[in-house]
Amino acid sequence: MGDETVRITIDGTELQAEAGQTILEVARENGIYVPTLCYHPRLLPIGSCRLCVVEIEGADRPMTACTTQVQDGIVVHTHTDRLHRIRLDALKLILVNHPLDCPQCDAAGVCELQNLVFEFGIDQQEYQATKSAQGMKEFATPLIRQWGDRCVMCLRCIRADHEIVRTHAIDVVGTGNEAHVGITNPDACISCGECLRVCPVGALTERVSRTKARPWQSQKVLTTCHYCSLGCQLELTVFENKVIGVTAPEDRGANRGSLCQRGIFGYDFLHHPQRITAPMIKGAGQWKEVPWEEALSHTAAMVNKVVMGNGPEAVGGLISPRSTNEEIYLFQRFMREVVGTNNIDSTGRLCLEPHRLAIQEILGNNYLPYTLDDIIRGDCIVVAGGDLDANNNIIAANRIREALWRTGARLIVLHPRQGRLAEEADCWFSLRPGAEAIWALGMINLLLKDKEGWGPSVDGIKGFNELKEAAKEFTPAAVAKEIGCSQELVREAAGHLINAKQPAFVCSPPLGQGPNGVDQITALANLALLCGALTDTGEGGFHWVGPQSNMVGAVEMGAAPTLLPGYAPASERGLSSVEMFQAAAKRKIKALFIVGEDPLLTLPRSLVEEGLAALEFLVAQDMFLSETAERAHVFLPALSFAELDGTFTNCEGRVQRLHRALKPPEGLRWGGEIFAEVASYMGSEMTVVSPAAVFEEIINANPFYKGTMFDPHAPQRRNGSGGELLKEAAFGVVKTEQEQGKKDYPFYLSIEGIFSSHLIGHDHQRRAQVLAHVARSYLAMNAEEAAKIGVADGDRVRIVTPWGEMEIGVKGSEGMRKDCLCLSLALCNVDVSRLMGPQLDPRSLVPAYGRVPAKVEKV
Amino acid sequence: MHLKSPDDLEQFRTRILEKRKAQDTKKRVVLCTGTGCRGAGALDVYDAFKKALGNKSDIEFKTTCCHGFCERGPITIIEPEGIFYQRVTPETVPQIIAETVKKDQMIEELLYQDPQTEEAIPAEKDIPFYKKQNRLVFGHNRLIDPTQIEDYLAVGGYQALVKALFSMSPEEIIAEVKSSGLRGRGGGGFPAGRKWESCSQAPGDVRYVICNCDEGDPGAYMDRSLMEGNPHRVLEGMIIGAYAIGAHEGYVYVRHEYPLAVENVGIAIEQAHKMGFLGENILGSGFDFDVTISKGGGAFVAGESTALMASIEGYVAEPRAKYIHTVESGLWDKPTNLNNVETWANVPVIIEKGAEWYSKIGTEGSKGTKIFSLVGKINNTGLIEVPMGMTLREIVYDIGGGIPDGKRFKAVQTGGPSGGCIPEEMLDLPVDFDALTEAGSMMGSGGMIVMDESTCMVDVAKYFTNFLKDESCGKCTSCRDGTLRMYEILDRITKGEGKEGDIELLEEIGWTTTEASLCALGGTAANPVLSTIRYFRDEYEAHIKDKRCPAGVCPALITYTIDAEACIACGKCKKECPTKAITGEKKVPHEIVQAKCIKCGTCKEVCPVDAVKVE
Repeated sequence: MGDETVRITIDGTELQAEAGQTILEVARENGIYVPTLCYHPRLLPIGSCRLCVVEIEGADRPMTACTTQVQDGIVVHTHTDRLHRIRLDALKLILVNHPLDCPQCDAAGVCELQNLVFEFGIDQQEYQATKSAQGMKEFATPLIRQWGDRCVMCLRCIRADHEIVRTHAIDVVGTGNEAHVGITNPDACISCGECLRVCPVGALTERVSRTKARPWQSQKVLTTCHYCSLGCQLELTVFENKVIGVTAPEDRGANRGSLCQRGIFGYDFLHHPQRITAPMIKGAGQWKEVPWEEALSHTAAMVNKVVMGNGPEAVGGLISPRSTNEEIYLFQRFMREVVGTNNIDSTGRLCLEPHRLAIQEILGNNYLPYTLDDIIRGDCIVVAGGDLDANNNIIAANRIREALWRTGARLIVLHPRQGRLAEEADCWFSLRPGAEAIWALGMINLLLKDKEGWGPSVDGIKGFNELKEAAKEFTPAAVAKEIGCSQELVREAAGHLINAKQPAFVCSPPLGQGPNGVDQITALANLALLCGALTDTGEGGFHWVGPQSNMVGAVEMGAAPTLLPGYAPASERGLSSVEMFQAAAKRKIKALFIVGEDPLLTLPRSLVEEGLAALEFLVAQDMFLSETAERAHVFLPALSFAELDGTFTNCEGRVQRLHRALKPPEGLRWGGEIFAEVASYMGSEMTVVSPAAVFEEIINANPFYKGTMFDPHAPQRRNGSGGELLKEAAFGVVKTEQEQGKKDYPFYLSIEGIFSSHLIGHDHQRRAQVLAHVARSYLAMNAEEAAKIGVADGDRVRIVTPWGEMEIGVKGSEGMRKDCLCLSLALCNVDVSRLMGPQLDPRSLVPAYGRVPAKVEKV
Repeated sequence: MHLKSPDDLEQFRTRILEKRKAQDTKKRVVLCTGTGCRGAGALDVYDAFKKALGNKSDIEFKTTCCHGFCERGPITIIEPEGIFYQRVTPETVPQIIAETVKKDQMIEELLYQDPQTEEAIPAEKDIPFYKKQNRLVFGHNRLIDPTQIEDYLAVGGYQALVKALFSMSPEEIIAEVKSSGLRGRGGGGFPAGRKWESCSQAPGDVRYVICNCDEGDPGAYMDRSLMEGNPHRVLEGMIIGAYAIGAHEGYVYVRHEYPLAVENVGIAIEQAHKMGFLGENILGSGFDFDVTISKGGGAFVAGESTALMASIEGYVAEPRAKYIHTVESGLWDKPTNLNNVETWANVPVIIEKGAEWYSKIGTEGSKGTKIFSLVGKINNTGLIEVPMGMTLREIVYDIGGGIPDGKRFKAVQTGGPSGGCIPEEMLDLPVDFDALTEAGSMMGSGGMIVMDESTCMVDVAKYFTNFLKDESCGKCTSCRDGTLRMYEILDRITKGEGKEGDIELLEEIGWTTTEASLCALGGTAANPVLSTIRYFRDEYEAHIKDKRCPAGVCPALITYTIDAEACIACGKCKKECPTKAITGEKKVPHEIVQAKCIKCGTCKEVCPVDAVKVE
């Protein structure tokens, strides 16, 4: 299908179409209107509403345009008396039960049924029937409400659930007129709102903002989501300077209209009463609101004092990867040019760096040219690192699912816990974090043995012989023993990779965020290069998905101790985030400027506490008084993402706009202005006009952004490096580590989701109150191991590591590796950073979030 | 015994036949224990025979499944004479053995009596019910114990398979089926050969064949009786079909309400495996094929092919649009050929006797025979198999024995719940696929419900529409809401609340439901309404305009009165009336107090002199 062209006639016009297209698709492409209700472009057509019926000459009954594929020479009529009669009758039948509560319905004004009734001019109803009165009920998630009477049984919600998210939380229940959308497995629901999004009427509504404003009273502002690195495009519905809802356009962004629970429901923090809207200075342990000039001049004076007294190396800066490119770029300019130090870092770098280093070693590049859509074309997909579903990278996980059902792709998952993707996988390796390299070498061992019948010639690639030699000892038996799986599973997975024409790898932290982290990724990338996932054409691909919206932008704008904007190496290496606190503890760093980061929550806590306590001066810029900001000397209020103009760079390299949707509180200014003013008080001029002007500066400073625009006409990416990608390719050298004895700490702990609760508050603050209804953090551990220490699901346990301890509820699981623990954080736990040690991977300067030695005790 | 070649099979068959030859002249008792006869107490009769004959009896006692004449069950045949005993009870068993088996004496009371001539007919073959039938597919049922594969081999079973595997190419088999003119017996009537051909030509390595035994029409049980009574015949058809199409896996989809069918086909599959008719290298031909049983939950719509495949895959049985045909992408998205039980059972005879022979039976467009379940207001209810093209009159009067109690024939409803009602003036309609569709009804899977003058056609339409509205899967607007609205209007009409314009509204919804539905259930769901309006419009009008139910069925529209002159004041009605609505003393003609009357009709039923009148 696809390549063949057929000619068809619709309403007298002869048209060209591709074989395999449906009549409806061809009609729409050519601007011919056919009414629809159950059809949705992202879902498989089912032809149930019967509104899109068309007549095909020669066929005795009308056919539904949405389900009928074009055939060469067919003559189609879309508007005849017969069709009008059918459509009118079908609509009237739908209307019999539909309540006339339009004035109270969220969908009024954006309701597809309303539009159709208007179009067909229905003003009376022949059928008298007692209407059912089901009222409003909670749906599969408490965040969505279901109005059964309004349902038109288009089944879009169910199809979205089954086809896009594949949770099967809802299904048709009952037959005949009793048939309705029922909740069949509420536990499976992930509150992603996909069902809500596709509902053509008001049968599903959002709990947060039911009829706060009618669609025509509110405004929709397109912007970029501030949560994870997928950079979903979303529209904020704004009424009276408040966000009252979030939708997503279908034709923009990697998300193509989909969102995750955070994106769609996690916006109420924007209007949280705890938000601070005035600058403050702490005196005698008390915060005092001060005018901007005072706060900024005080900051400048204090920083100046440290620079004068101890040199610029005594100052450090941390900036959040949820700041815009423009803010980050200006902040690094401030740190480097005004203060004069490379002591700048971001947690975005902690998530990206291991991947970047691995890619650089193998390809000489800093990033890869692939887009998430390339995943769909993959026929064997390897998923390693974080649990994409649990970490709300659901859009990426759904791409993988799409490949599974569209093309029947094979799926291999490496994760100690059997998450949703692992359940759907052909091969699930329940391996301990840090054993990825062993697994990859095991695959390479088998792939090289099966030289015959497997395509790309790789002998010529540099490092091939070394790789071959290195893989020699990783026989299926050795790998199975080390991983703790069967040899058959190892062989099966290798078989899938060997048979794959276009493999794809989708990886995410905490892969790479443990001892020898970079090696794990290098090993997987070696395998990817060997089996043909890394190609110039950009199909399949090797993908890195991270937790922060501007993870990539943070590094590319130079928020890194080793890198200037555009990955240019810094002449002198500055201190990384953890090193800054180590230095602070030793009183070598005396002043810190922290923008939007909360290191007490995300970096080894005892170290951060020690460092913060020893500082002479701490200035924090944030929307809220975060844990860290509470310990600052000066607090500068920040804008929310909804109040900002600027850009984010997503994990595919899309450079996407944030549009100001809300007017900020009186007096508040964006980061760029703040940095410029502090600079000015320090005696240096940084001319900052507007985010747009800063973006122009970025284009000049960062060669990879050349050609991009602040306000592009079409979706844009920073320069890809396709085409010549493999020219410099070389297999990387990988160190593997056998399992070590671990007497006192029998478990390996990995921490997932630690970076995801910035702004929305940790588990005590719950600034995103709506999300708090569904977001649950817990410790996943093997059910048998849990039973051994006498704990059951929901019981609280104490996790102890060499550095600290915390308490949390436990979830026992059969599908969890026995010697591993997985902290799955939906909202960051305030104590989680206590578990972390100060050791860094010497290559990436990243502390360990994975493979932390731990034990568990009953509370 | 595992047969490795056609020769093995023939030797085995010869051995069976030789063994049986000696027995053929001896007395044998054959008892039908099909579901119909079981309902009438056949298992008790079985026990009685077992007890009476004892273990070491030299009289062969054999059980079979359905013979078709269920109305007369439990049925016992005494061979070799073929004496037909009807309504046998455990009490009569000793008598049968003592007199008929041992002394060759006929027991008059157990014989079938011709309702017209009142003459007793001893031999099965002379009974009018059987006489006009052509039991091409169904006939072996009475010779076979379905749990004994030897019985099937004895009647020539698996001969067609040998012919297909060893002397025909798959293409030749498909050509043969095509030219036989066999059309799908499940209802649609799609040419089976063409379906096979499309499936065999669809791209892909893996193909499936499915036998649809999800018979859902109320009152229809021909597939059940075939599956229970002659499962090997169905399997043989499937194996031949699989070989022709290139499938190596097959499914038999049976509803779980058919436990005996599930059991018998399970036994048959096991035996076929043991003997080498299923599994690897069937009869040494190199062809592999296996069959799995899949049990359905019993939804009416699950009999629709795409819904059925969804059900086998473990999903809710819901039809999907067939823009990609199941022969190209069916079960698990692989090319799949689905036929129903009766269709598969026709295959061996076509292969064995050839398409030319087969196509001589039937009409121009419909070849072969069709099994119908003849039920309702008719003397001889049961399963009948007749050549296509026989007239309704022959079926109703010659085979069915006419209408009981001297009442007048009114209509026959064919094709299951979504079939239509055919009136008296069309009794000479030859029954085949096209003629029935032309008349506003359909063949369906072969249900035939006879109605007499005491049947209200609006009530009938309401009854079937009620069934259909419940069994609609609820996916398509036109079917889900259309059937419900039609039901609501019919309900109003039967309650005397019909309005001017209701008939037109029914016609409009019926039209939309027919025109705009996705699957055959919706496409035919308006048939009961539309066909009754077409042929019995006056009855609708009487309900709506005159608030009168001519057949005297709809409670809201009738009044019961007692004809004072005819009343003999026996008090029977007064005694039976559940609401004590009847007054009158001995020798005083009774009267009905209308305010108390709930129109249950009990008085009319019990009146010995037919003095209760309905208006």
